[in-house]
Amino acid sequence: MGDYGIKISKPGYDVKTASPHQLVFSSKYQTLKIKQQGSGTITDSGGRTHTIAHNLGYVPMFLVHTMIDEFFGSFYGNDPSDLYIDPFGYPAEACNVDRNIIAWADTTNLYIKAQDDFAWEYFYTNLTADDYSTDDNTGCWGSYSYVGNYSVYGVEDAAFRFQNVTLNKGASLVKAELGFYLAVRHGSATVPVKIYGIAEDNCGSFPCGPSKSRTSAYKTEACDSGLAQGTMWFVGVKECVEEVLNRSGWSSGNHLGLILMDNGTPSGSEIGTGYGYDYNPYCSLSCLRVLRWDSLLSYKYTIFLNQINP
Amino acid sequence: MSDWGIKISRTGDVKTAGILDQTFNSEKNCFKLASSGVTTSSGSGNRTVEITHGLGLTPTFLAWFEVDSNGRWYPAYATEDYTSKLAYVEPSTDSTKLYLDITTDGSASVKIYYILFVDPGA
Repeated sequence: MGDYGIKISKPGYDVKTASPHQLVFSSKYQTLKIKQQGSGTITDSGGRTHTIAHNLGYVPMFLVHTMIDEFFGSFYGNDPSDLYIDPFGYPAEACNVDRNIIAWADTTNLYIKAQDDFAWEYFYTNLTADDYSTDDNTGCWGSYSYVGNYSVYGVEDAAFRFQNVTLNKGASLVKAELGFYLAVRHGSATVPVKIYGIAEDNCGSFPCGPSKSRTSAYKTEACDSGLAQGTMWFVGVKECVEEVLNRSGWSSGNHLGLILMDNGTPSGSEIGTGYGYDYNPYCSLSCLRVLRWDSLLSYKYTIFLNQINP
Repeated sequence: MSDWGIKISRTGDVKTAGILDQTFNSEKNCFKLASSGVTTSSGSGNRTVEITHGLGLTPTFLAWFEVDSNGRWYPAYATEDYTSKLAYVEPSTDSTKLYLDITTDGSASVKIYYILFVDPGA
């Protein structure tokens, strides 16, 4: 085939002498050709990964842009309608949360995923003895939070205090969860509990957290026997947290406490953590986390006909 | 130079079609693919693969990567999500080379596909 083709130069350049970057088009070079475009919204309730079929039979080049939700938009000081190119990386922070938005393609689909921590707001203890408490046969003391029924300690009740909870008075939540880091798990039985909020406008320091006044709202839950030592147990506490947020004296930035009352654990099983174990290392592993919006993000995507690694 | 050029519309009258309804307009640049390639780096920790591009300018580029041949291609810069093994690729260019900074937490084979445009980065 002879050396022929089409070149079109930018305005002001002679097409016969223009260098490649002075051309707006040259048939010598491929361009990106769009196969399909679309948009969507990822919600927490609808599943955090969206799958978009492209039916190309090979891995195509692609781009994904995301519009993050109101919380993250305001966090950045940007308009929430701003578009971010994927992958969207949440600002680095000391605590081990993964709030990234990622996308990938294989030979059949494009996938867009909000990681599990995305859009959750996390609150931690201050890793002091005054944030953890246990009430058992030996007394009521700080530093550790154990619940269950174990050894000479007998029936144990626990409490946590999470500091600087920046949620407005009366805030409406989609979800709220206690994250209990199982630094210790003795025995193999399920540990059933009743979880209450601590009915204080600004939860004071322990040592005796379980003896504090409780919210009328509570959750009956159980730490399943399959959850091993060294893992997190996440359990819903939305109603308890909302009751505290609805207190007349609550204001953003106050401390919020939770109590876990043993609810019939057979002797020999307990779960627990303490300020010396609950270490991330910059934040406590145990946490209170809340989700304020079900709608997490909107995205726009472009799938090209061009192939990755042809 | 007089005011002339080429416009191609998607559908409808090219003389009245707005810029977003044109597939080509010689007033507006198009990214032109100068070259592409694939490279694989096996190992652990941080390492950099350098690729000489010879374009004589600092080009615009795109890159995607795959870890341990798992069939999932992520855009760089991204964190691989396939296993608990952390892996990411951070590409950059100058007027002579494309640099692919690779980080893996543990041993991993990272295959990177990159494309370089004739057109310089902004």
